[in-house]
Amino acid sequence: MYISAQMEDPAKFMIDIGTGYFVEMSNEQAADYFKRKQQYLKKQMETIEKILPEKQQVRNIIMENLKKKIQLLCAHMPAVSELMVVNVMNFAALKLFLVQSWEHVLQLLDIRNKIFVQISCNLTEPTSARGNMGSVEVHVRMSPMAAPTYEDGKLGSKGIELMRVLEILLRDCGVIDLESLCIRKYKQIWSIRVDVHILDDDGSLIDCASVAVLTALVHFKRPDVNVLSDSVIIYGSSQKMPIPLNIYHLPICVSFGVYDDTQPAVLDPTDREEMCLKGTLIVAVNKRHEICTLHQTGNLVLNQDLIMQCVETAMQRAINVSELISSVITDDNLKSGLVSLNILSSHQCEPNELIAPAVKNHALIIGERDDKVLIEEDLIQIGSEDQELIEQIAEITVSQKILDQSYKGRTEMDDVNDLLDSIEENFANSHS
Amino acid sequence: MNILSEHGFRQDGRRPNQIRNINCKLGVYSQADGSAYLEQGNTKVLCAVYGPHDSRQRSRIHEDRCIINCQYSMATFSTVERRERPRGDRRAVEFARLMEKVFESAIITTMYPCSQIDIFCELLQGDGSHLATCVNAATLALADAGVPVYGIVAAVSSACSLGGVACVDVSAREEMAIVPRLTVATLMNQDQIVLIELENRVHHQHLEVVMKSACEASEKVRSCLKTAIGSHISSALGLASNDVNSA
Repeated sequence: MYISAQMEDPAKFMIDIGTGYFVEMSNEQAADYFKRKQQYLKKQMETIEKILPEKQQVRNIIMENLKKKIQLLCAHMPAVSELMVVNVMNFAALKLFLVQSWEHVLQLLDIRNKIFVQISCNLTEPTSARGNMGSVEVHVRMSPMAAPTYEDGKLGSKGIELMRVLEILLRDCGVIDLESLCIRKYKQIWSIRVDVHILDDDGSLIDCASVAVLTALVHFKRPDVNVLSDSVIIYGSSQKMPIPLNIYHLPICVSFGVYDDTQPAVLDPTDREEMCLKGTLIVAVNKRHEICTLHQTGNLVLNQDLIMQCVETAMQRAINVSELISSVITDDNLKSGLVSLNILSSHQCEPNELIAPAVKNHALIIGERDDKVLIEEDLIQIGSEDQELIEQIAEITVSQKILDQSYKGRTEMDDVNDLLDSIEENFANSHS
Repeated sequence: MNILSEHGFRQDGRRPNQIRNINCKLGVYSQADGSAYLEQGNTKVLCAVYGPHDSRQRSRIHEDRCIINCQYSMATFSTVERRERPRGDRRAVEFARLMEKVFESAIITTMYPCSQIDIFCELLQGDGSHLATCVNAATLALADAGVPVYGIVAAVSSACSLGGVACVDVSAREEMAIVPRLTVATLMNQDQIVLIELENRVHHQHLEVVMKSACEASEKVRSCLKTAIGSHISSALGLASNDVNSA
């Protein structure tokens, strides 16, 4: 700010030093002060100019590391179905969260039947009737491999029966907690898809299919979800552990072949026995002695005593099969835990007590799960880069602040030059 | 919300073992071989039977017996919410399949080889117990058509309330999402069950109570259907009303 004015005493000046202080100086002292300040600012500018190219190189290195990391993830996960990009910072920082459809495949080998069940989940928009619940879809494929009478692409009467019973079990009996599958009410829910492939059919198909589907549901895990106010973050298995479904109970189907009222029912009929029977009564019972469904195929004439006897027998079998499913799932979780322990112990410091059993089991497990072990090792190595990435991002933010300071320095320099010029003019005027 | 009040009455004033009023009319259509209109409370069903006639689909002929073909549809105005698809959805196909199984056991199919009997059910107003009412209406229509059967099929649905009390002939307000419901159809007496269909979970001790109560209620329905068929035959033959018991 400059004002045309007349000076009473041209030999003395009030100089603004900074921070609100003013000092009365003579002409020589004022000139010396401004020269020293000019030299100080020049030194600061030179220092900043040296730091800038180094910080830009660091930024380029970080961007290259990000690209390499993305390529690694894409190469190791061919089943990636979608990439969600969420901007975390304003300064060119991106975090990629991979959404992957989790697929657990369970093959149940009965003595006669072979059924392949695959469960996947997907984000969908719910129907308007029940917006706060997830949905379950059952798809049945009667493979021509299973029986010569099956046609490819057509369900047939047996397929329709099987799909109907599985839909009753999964939807109407309340096996899965559907409310826990809701992410945003009326906007986003998890949709569970159950694909049942019949590979070999030798009678009692519904019994075998129900056990296979229930075991697959217990074994299935969905990705973890973090719901923010304006976005939904879905984590891959490298960031967070997937979450199993909430299973309330396991209704086990038991088939009873009925020929006549006077004769007892046939338990677990084979394919040839089913041809001779009039029909089959299917009783679905869970471990808590609750009858979930009563279903009949064929043309049956029953009485109450026969039905109650079938229910009693089915309850005992449901307890046995439920214990079998629990033991299978527990054993699988234990093996998975040992595998993950082995992987974790190679990268983190663990007590010796934990390392020794893991090493012993390593030789046994590696032959069975080669692919899983390799994938998880790579994922954990990629995970360790996250810490370096965070440190590098912190450095970028610091360099950004320094840049801001350098801009302020330049503007001050211009002001100083103007002041010096005006002072020189005053000197010239005073001498003349 | 419980089905029964603390005094033992239901929402519409019935006792647990009471069925709703049954009004019926046989011979509604003249062009059909047999037809019936049945009201069970506020549930109203129209049923038409065609046949036995030659089967138009050559691939479905059985040389030793006839084929039962059932079709079930709900009118769009039958429930409070308008439905978009009156037939062909999952529930309608399931009901048709269950009715086919019931009447394959009830009709003497060996008397008409290489033939087909068509049963069409239309639900005009729905107030619970849809499947049972359709089975009862189809029984009346078959009797009107003169198709030989082993016996009169009587169907009843029964629900298990809190505390294990069985309530027969459930209405729409009693068909809540978690109430276990059992639909039973009996043939000549209550010991010949041709249809048993359970929805939702029920403890096995309650199952026996509900099933027994449903079979007993089916006897009441059967007596109503017998009376209706007897009066229809009497009026058709011009006999006196005191000969109803002979039917």
